[in-house]
Amino acid sequence: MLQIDPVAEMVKARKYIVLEKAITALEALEVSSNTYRTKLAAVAHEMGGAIAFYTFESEAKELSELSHWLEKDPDAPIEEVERKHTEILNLLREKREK
Amino acid sequence: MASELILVVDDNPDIRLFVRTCLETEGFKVVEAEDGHQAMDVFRTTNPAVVILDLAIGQPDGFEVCREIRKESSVPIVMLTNRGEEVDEAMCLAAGADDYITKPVSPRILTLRITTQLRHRGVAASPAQTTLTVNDLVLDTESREFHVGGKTVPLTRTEFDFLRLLMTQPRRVFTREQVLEVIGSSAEFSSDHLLDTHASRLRIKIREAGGNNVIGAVRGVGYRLYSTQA
Repeated sequence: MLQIDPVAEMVKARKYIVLEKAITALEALEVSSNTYRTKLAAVAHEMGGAIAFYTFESEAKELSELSHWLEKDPDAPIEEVERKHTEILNLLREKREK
Repeated sequence: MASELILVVDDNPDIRLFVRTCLETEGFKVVEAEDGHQAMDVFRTTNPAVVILDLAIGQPDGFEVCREIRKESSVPIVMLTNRGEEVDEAMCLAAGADDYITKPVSPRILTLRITTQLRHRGVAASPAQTTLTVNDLVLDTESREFHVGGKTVPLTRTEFDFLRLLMTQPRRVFTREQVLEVIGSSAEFSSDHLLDTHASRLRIKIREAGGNNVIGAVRGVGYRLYSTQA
């Protein structure tokens, strides 16, 4: 008899919902805000932790790296921050479309 | 064992759901908290058997919550950290945690870590001997108090159990695997530095209380106590 793994079933059912939450959270950040960098670091950290549990490990790694980079280099040029922000968003969107 | 209550503290609902599903699948009961304040409330009202505590839960953070719980209880605490986070074992252990897990974690490993903590708690609940004395070190296994030259030295649960093992048979060398078993970890899932960190912190605490360094490492084997007695 085929045994159902409840964890695998739950992950399968929710993985794209969790991915969508990460995309929405990243899209909601306003570059013009004074807290943009801090919020981006926090969102990247939290969402990286979450999507890693739902099979998106390589994307989670990218988010974690972004978060670490922002913490280590708080004075990085804003253009660079925006570029990385956009890159990771595109990466997650691509994953969603697949 | 599997019906034990586990408190899961994480600010992300999807991580809590994952952990809950893993644990409930194995028969555990789960209560949740999304921040530090809620964690303390739920902890005090439900008295869980193990606490799984995420580090980044806002303010108060996981370290602060860990220290707060430790003031009230010796419940096993397993910290959750993100991969690559600049948090080392020493910081988790210093806060009073018994173990830590790097996210993401597979259901199998998660359950194993929790089961190990519970198994260990069962062992700790039935001490065979009430007082162990080596030189000026006195360990009361019933009250779980530790004294150096009459001075009380607070220990974490893991430190206490590590030291208790060594004090049961001074001069005997205990292998790393034997120590890991007693402190509720496993060689398979623990890094090489875990025990060194515990041993180091014990030496510091004993020294700060005026005691001598009696905890010795035997290269490639494990640990022993240097005693002028026994």
